[in-house]
Amino acid sequence: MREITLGQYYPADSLLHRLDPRVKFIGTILYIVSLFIANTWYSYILCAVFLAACIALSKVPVRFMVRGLRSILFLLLFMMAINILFTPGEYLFSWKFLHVSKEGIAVALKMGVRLTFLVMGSSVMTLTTTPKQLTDAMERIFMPLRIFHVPVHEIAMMMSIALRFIPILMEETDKIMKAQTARGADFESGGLIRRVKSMVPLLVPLFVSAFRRAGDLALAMEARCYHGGDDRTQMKPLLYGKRDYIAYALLILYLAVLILMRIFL
Amino acid sequence: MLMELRDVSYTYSPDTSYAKTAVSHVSLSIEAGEFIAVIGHTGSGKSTLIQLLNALLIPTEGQVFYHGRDIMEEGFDRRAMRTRIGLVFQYPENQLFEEDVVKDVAFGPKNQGCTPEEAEKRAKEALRAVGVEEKYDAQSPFELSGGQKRRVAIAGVLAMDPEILILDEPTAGLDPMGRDAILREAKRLQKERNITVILVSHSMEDVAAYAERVLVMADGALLMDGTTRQVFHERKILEDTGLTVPEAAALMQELREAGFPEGDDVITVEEARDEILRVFGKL
Repeated sequence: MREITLGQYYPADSLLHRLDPRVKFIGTILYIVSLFIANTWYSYILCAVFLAACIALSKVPVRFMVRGLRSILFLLLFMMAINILFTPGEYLFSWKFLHVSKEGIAVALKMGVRLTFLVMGSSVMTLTTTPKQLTDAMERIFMPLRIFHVPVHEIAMMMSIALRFIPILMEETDKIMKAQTARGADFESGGLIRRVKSMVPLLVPLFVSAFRRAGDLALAMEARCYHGGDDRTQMKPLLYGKRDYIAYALLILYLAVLILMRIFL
Repeated sequence: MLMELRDVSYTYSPDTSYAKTAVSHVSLSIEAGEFIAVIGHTGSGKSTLIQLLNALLIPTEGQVFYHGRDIMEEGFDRRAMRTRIGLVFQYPENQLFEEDVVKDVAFGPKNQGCTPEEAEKRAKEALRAVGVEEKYDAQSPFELSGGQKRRVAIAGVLAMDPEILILDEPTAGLDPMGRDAILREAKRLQKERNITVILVSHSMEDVAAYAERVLVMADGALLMDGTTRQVFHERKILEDTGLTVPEAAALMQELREAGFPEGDDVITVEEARDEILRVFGKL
């Protein structure tokens, strides 16, 4: 139970950890875009170098990055297999309706590299940024949407509250599970239907407690005169520093080179 | 001997950097019909200790014997054992889930394999035993008051006909009336049914009034194990671990320092009153 940690923040003191979360958020999106701009093996090498540099700067052990890949392993293999088998071109090998073509292998490899880099790139962000920082960053980035009456602050607040409550509810689940086990409940054995049924003594108290906590929190917030986004200031506002501007500059440079490579190579 | 712990230790997430030993090298034995209090500072290992007694946690070191059998033995039915050692957690009302009170209390007996009729009968008996009136039987447990919910939750454990009833701070957050009612009930069960009651409490007054034996936990170790009087006589040791003695005992001690001749082993208010009256009666 305790092993399920939220997000996957890896605490360390590195340049990437200290970077403004907005830079990391925008940077990750730009990096994902860049993966789709890249179309030759040379540009992929540039993507790889950029990623490797970020990983090195983050001081997070590489195995944590690779761990993120495990969850998409099936998807990755499936997509590669489909591409290899169904891309028309110069056939190297054929069996009934399945053909392995040169082009198919190339497409599949590129696709695989793209997906791998994409997942590892986003892992760099989630490993170096706490969920709280990330919501703050998103709140600031999407602030302009308020012109269109999008409740940006409220959405960000809901996200942070949800994140804050996950560990509490995990602990609560653990407690209730123990209490029901002490009353002879059995959560492990039996067929599917029995197991689903055995969840009732766990889920009902859990929902009751979640609603109670939500009510308490709402009351506590109102008692402190919370009134939503307008005119609220933050205790620790996000401020860009020199290194953040340098990071943006490097990102733009990287993107520009990739675009040029796409046009001229 | 009902239960025995032999050099038991428990470590949370062993072999990781988060490893934390909550109970270390505790040995003790429990007889039928005892009323034992467990006291100790927050984080001293009380909650871990009671979960070890109930086999919810399996010791990382040492052995636990129940009716003379090692609970780690092959073929030992720990689930059946858990149903005979009733554990009431803190704020047990948070575990209620059924649509009516009787059904909720019958959950335990049903898990023990009772027929629905038998389970209902036992549930009703348990409810009467903790003082929940018949008119509440068909109500939703969520509509009851806090104190009533607590009683229903305790009945849920009691209905399983336990040999040992472990109560983890059963009176936290209750008014004085509800508190006394629950503790008196526990005492009555001990006397009438010869159930062993183990009470975790922060109230030294409650411990003095109800327990016959006290276990003092400090930093995961069993610091003291003796009769209530013996333990509360060691004011110095208790205060060193951040605990206190009952107010009546503290009062008598201060009176004695000021020259009062009697009352060395007083622990309850009634005893203090009697001692003082006796001494003044002599004058």
